[in-house]
Amino acid sequence: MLNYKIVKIFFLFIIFFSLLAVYLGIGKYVKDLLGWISFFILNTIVITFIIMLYLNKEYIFRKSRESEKFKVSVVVPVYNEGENIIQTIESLLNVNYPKDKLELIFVDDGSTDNTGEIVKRYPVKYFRKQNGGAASAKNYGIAKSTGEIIITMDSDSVIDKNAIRRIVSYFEDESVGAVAGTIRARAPKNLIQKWQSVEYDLILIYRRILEAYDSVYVTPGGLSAFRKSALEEVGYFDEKSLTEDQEIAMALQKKGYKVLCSLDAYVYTTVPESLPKLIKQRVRWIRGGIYNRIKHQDLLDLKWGNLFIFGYLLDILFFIPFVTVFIGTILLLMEQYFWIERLGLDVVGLMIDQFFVTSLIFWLISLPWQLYMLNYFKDLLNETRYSILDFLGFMFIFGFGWFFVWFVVMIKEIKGERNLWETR
Amino acid sequence: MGDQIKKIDYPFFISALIITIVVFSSGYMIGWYLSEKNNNEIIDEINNINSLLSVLQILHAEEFCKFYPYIISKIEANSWKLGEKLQYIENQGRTEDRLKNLYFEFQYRDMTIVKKAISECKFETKIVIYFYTNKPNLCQTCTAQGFELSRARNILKEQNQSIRIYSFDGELEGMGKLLANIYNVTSYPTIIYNNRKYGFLSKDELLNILK
Repeated sequence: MLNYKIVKIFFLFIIFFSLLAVYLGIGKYVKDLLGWISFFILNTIVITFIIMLYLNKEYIFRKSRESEKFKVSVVVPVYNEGENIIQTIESLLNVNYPKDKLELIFVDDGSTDNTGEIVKRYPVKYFRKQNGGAASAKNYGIAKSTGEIIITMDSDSVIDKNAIRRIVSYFEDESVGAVAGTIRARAPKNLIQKWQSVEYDLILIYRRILEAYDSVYVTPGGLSAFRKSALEEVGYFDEKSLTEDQEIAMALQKKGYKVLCSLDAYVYTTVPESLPKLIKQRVRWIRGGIYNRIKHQDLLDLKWGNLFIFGYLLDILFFIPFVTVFIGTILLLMEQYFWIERLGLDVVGLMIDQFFVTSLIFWLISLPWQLYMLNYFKDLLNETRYSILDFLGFMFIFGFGWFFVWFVVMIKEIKGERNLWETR
Repeated sequence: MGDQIKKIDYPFFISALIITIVVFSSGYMIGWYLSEKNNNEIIDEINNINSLLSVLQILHAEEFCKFYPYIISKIEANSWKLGEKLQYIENQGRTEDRLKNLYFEFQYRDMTIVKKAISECKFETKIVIYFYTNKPNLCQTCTAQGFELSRARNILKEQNQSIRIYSFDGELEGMGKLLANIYNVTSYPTIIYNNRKYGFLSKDELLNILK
């Protein structure tokens, strides 16, 4: 039976194991072995995605239908947004959906600025509560709602006018419990935001591929829709979760509901513009993901099919490359610099070995198909939001940044820092 | 809604596994080929500087002392770099024994010639013999010792001092083990200078001994 202490113990074990291997002089061999294993696993998954995409292209890129059938309540938790909330409100007031079937609810989670005053100027429902995190604000709003479909949205996002009519169309299938929206980065300005923009667009297609295999395990807080009766069945959002948007998707899947995603119910969200903010966000995502898997450890069972593999097993297997990189970092700090000192640039040519070449081949395989996926948005929306250089930067730099974030997660878990959901 | 039985699409994973194995195997073989190419280039380099040693070996005493500084300077820079490359490859777990034995044979010939130059031509050169092993249970400081030797050598070179460091893997079947037996090496690392044996020496300790 897993519990939360296991995370700290596990990370301590990784550190102990890595340092022991290096001390015994076998660090390099352990790193190489784990490196080969993790590379093999990761690339099997990549090839799996490529096959899945190829076989389900039409389904994956299908357009949403539109519907005005349901009474919809949009719940937006807000906290110290200030003037930024205006764009969110105005985009919601501008949506193309019958006004008599649309309820807009803003839940102020204890803002200390003038957010409340600004919201009250608009013809929306406004509630204020004590600060308790986004999940508690959403639950508060749902409790006040009258719609049969609940849409949750971030308060720093701008929704497309057709997003609601598209996202609710999926609920005409009674078995659908939730639908993830199409979250895109809003007006990326600097390199970090552009890389996130690439990432968000890729994730949309990945999620659609997962949907084709009934294994969507996140309904992002940026924009997601839920059947209210399904939410009641699973007990609404977990207010203790750091990533309640993932937790609720897992809970709904376990109850037998379908979790789908749309590719054209757009919302444009503000992404972190600086490295510290980005790291803070990603640390929360990873820690939230770990805790959700502990909570839903019964998903660690073959009976959950593809959901078990993509929604659970993959993340566990990610520990293998993490340990590889951890040991490799220790060895690098100890030795690699000195080889550059001794050999100069000759060391570059000597680095070419079987692992290097195989890694390169897999990078080369993964590049074109990811570009193919990104082209979907370029063709559909006739826009160019990032260049090839941005894409390559995302592939070669941003991706490796994940390992650094994992280091931070490891330190926080070992220190036993308990992050409650920080709304800001 | 009740419990559902969800399926795993095994055909996809199996197909992906097969494709991955094919790509892996191709990558592995290409990498092996390029690695071998690297090794062959090193062998060619060893053979090239070996041929320069051969020239010195056939010269008469007078000509030997006359041409020694010129030829040895050509050999020295290349052989040191070669040794560093071999150590790097070894550190990555990729060396072949045949490569190492070839290099050790060259080193031993080189050492013999340098000793001859010292005794017959009165050239001043410090000779350091270093025995190491890659077996982690026998030596955990050998990699570090390599760095310290490298640093000490560079400092002495900057001071225009002549120094030759000959490194041998004392556990390697062939030349390495033979020399380790001759010099009665019982532990690693072992540094031999002026007929005295030492264990691990830092850069500063090395410079102190070699001054």
